[in-house]
Amino acid sequence: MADLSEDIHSLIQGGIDPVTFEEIRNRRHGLRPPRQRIVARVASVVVFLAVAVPVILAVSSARSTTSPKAGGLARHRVIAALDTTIASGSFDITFSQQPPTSPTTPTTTTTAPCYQSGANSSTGPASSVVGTPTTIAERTTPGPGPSPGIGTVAGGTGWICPASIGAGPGLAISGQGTVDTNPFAMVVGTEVPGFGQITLRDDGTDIWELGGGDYGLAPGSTDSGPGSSLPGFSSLVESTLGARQGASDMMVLANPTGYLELDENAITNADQIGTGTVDGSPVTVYQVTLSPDQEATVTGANTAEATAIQDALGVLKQQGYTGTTVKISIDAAGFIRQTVATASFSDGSSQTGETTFSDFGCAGTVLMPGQQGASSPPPGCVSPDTAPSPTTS
Amino acid sequence: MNEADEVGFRAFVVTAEPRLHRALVASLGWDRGREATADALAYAWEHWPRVRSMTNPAGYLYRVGQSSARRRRVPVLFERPEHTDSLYEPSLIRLLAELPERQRIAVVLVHGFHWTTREVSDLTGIAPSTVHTHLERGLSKLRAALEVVDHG
Repeated sequence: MADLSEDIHSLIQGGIDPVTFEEIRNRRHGLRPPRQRIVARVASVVVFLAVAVPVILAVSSARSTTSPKAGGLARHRVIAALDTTIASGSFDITFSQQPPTSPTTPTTTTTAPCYQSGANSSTGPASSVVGTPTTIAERTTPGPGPSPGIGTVAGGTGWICPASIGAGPGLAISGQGTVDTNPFAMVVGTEVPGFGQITLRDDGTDIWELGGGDYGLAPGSTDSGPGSSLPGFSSLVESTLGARQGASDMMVLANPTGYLELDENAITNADQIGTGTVDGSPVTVYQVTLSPDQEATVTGANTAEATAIQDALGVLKQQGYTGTTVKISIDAAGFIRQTVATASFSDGSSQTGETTFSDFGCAGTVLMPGQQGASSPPPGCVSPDTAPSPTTS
Repeated sequence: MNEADEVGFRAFVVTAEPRLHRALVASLGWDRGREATADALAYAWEHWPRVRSMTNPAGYLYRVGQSSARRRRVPVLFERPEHTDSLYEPSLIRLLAELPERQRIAVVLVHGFHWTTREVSDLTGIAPSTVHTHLERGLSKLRAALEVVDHG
């Protein structure tokens, strides 16, 4: 048996020449032309009507009180709450994250991409300032260009190439912030052990980091600068928090809804798992499971966000990321009030983050450094989560 | 396809192509398997909004690839030019090609590419217990045939 298995493996082993993206794009798929497909579909419909309909009628007459599938209804409610929450325009958040739990098997490491500190997105596409692992190898030789290590972050314009980032122990962090959904803008204050208070502003393309590495700030400035690319920020985040927690956080920063971090297309299943209260409001709790493939494409993501998501997913996959389970608490008004997301890894490790949402539509306008305008919510704005409960008599 | 869709599609190809390619190779052999993979991914490119929303897009594309390949009446071939100094029983190439398709898929994916029966099931849509049955029957046939070769 072992010999046969080895024989089969010997026969099959050897490199498979992968199908490239260019090859796919320049190729017409080999399915039947439309006319043939129409004929085939008509034939299929005829067969279906002749065979399946009587069966369906017989079944439905025997089970006339069929109710919708629980999974479908739960998914519909989660997606409706997501739409409602995004449509509110703004919300405040408080969040906390636990470091990844210990793996039960040895961890792997990954190499983060190079990026150019201080690069302004206006000089070109965000992805143009991000190097590849190949670039790292090429530019570790003496001479101009990036070298491994972090040391030219503050307002500099040099390349930064962290040599290797492991899963890392991660950090317990917590903070609060505000998210505007249209146009997207987010400000988050985070207490990071060892670094103190770090305030991040994210407009979906660029990042301004006040504190920590002062990423995106002008040299010598403490609160202004051109901003630096969102994808390029990943190296700093992953070197600070470790590959797993850092890449998970980049998924949040790159999501067009920020800490809401849910996309309708990725929600293919949902289950109602219980009830509870959030900030005193009764909620129904649903659970959805997101696979890495489902998270790869996020509706409405711009180029910088999509690049950052792909980079982060690449790091997570190298770490053995298998997916995320999200518990979503939805209140009676249909707003998402809390999410508890647990990312899982193939070595048994997991990492959990909890986010609570409030002040829907009344969180104010997030301004980036240099932007002018009112940041306060309209006078008298009352969020549904703070409105007095209707009384009955 | 807009820029964001293209980024998503590229990421999907990176993730799905290796699995899809190996499964179609197991089913169809090296050349037809590669052709079928390219056909299936070209279909995904043209129908990306629909494909990306599927629960198991790779599984769907596996069936697209198989449908595409069935139009071409080319035998299943596992020969490769570099196989001239191979370490395996030469008749294995022919015996694998002669196995019923599902048995060949199970044998090649599990013993050739070291997939689990669950992974085979996820992509092909065949129940894990059925994959196991196909695997055992395929191996039994190969063993019996190789016994004949050895002693014949």
